[in-house]
Amino acid sequence: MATHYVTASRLRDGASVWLGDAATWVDKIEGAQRFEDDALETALEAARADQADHRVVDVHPAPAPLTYREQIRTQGPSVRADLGTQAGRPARADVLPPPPSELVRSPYAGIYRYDEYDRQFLRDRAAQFRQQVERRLSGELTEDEFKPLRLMNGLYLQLHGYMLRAALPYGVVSAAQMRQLAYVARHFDRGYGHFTTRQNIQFNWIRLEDTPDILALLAEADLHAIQTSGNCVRNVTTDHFAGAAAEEVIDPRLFAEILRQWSTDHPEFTYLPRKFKIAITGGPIDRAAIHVHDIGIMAHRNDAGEPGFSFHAGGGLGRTPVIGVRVRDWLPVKDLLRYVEAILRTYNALGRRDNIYKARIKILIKEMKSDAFIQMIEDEFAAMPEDYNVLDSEIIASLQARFVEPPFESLPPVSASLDAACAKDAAFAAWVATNSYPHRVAGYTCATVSLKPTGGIPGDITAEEMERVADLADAYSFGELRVSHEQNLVLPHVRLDDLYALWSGLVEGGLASANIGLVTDIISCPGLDYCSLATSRSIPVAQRLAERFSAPERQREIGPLDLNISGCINACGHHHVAHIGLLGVDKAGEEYYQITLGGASDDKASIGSIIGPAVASEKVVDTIDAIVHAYIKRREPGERFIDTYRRLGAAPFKAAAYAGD
Amino acid sequence: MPIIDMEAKPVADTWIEGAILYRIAAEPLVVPFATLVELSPGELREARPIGVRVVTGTETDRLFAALDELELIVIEFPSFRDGRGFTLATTLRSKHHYMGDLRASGHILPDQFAALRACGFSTLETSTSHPPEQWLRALATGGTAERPTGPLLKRLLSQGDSRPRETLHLHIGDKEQG
Repeated sequence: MATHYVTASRLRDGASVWLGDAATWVDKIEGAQRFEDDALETALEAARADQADHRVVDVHPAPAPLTYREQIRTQGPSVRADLGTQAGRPARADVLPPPPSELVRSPYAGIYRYDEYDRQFLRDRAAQFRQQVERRLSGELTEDEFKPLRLMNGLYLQLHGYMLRAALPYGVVSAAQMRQLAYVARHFDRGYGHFTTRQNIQFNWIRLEDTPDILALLAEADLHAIQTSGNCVRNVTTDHFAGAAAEEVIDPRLFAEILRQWSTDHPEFTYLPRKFKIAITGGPIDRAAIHVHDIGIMAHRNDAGEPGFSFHAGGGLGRTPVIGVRVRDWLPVKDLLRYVEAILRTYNALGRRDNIYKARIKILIKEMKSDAFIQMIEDEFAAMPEDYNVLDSEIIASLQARFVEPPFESLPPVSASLDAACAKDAAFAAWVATNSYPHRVAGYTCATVSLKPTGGIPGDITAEEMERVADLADAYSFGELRVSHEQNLVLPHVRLDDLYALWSGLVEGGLASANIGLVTDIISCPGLDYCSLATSRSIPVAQRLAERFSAPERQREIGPLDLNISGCINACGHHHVAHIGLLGVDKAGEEYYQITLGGASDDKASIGSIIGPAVASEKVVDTIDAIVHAYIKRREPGERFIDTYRRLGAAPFKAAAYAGD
Repeated sequence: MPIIDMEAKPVADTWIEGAILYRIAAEPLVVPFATLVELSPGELREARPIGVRVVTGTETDRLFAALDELELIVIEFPSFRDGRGFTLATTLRSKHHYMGDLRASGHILPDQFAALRACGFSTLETSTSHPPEQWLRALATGGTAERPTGPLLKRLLSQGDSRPRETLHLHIGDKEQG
């Protein structure tokens, strides 16, 4: 006869707990009791009584032997053997050192500069959440009621505990803010954080009771976790080279900030049918994936040289990947909020609420047909009072004034010392070739810090590493950093003359992987090692692939190749828009990976096509190797993987992938 | 359940829910949306004072056509996570210039007080799980009072902002130079 464990998550810290003898909860599976079918209902009843008393949440039976998911809940992430349940859950220190925000604010970093009113708003929000947490712990709020409130503040309940997702608005972070994040990681988490594909940072081991303190600390550094989850307008994302790239037409940060402020706590759009993601870019090269967002905005200039926007809507990844529809070719700057509001009002009124999988705006546009949808937005837009939410030039100027232009020096466009260092040091030259990008100001460059070392976890960063890049940013990039949606960091304004010194500092910290845009620069979601939605462990696959392709010469020989991995159909790893995408699926308790080819997230955005049956986890690396091999054999000189794929189609790659079958 | 206004103060409620057929006198009557739809413009005018209860997601064109005769519109939230009530209220106030009483009812949370007010609701129907004192507390902790704080953009866009704009500009002080 089948036996079951009874398990839940502890309300206060989210730890997985198991029903032991005498109806008590234990932290370790060894002390858990197994219930025969006839005793299970009684045990569940007792457990649910504890849930009603607000001690645990998410009570559920777990059949023995445990599924892979439940095993991970008992053991901790398989990729961090040092952090499992055996490591215990360290208590918070009684006395903490003063937070970095009391010391310095990186005066030249290109973040939006808060005034005391802006800051007080974040303090108030943290205080409000403190009350909500108290009301939850006292039982005044049920879990059903509390959940959307905590999600609105970025707090998820994951497999091993609460995860806090803080926004790094449009990916711009000052060195001082990075140090504050390091402080949170060190004193409230377990010494590390994870950068996501949405320019956010996630802390994985947060206690519910600590969250208000963390939010208050973030507020002092002008950071917050507002609307990083929930069915609202999420963190607005943009190009990680915004305001620095040589080819940029308009700096999108100002408009991303305007959208952030407008959407924050929006009274009408905080309970939408589903989450809503906006991306904006300011140049002809799209590094913000605007075609796969609910709204994708391109800032550009018209023939008269005036700034304005074109709009795409209804793009998205997940279960139903869709390239967005172009809904407007030109919108003057003053109408930005009015037009976005018209889209959201139409969506909020008509978006489906009966089926979570059909609730995104992409489904609404599909069901209505895009012409009818565009007409509705235009009607809504036209009906708005003409003085409503207009961005007049005075308002734009007031917000623009909050962005400090770094005091760039007047420099020659080439650097003799850089050339000499490249000639002398091949490893440095290779890093410069992959990890730097042309800057709009002569004598400067954008430098990318790869968070994809061989053997590492894509996007993970320790508190010490955060502090090291913060120091380097202070020394070489006006105290400014960027977080890219590819889960790397950028020092946006580095003097060519300083590049070698920067690289040397990165080498010392183990942060100098020269693989940006190459096959080992893998985007990966946290997968089943952390995430309660995941169906497979994406991180170990990313690690094995990085290991296989680790030789620098081989990576460079393969050339530019986007390889992304998602641990479930929600597609946080952006696998649909990778040149080679991997999607983890569960086949009768085994991890398999579906392979897609031909996706792209840039200005030629496309959704990858599945090439055939999913491949067992242990065969993934060989299969990808075979696909890469087929490309090398067939490519024309200088042709990228994606271009060879577009020229030849899937057939040769498919043949290579399944050759052994 | 008690009705409160947007200051969380109790409101004397004279409205009665019922069917027109059994109306005894000309008491203020709230009818379901289905009833409203069946009334001709003349019948509707005669039925005054009249209000309507609308569940979000209803086809709203007929509602918009009847606005001149309605002194109360109750918008019922099937779940506090269903935000259509916010858009319907905004649409009634700003697009159709509805001036009567706009009441939120159903599953709503004191945490939504500020949003309900901003979208134009004028009264709320409280519930046993969230009685008036919880709304009063939400108000006291800044849940709905006009905040002196907030992002710069919202301060600039709000028309009631009487502070001179100069004071909103950033002064990079000593601390900034740190």
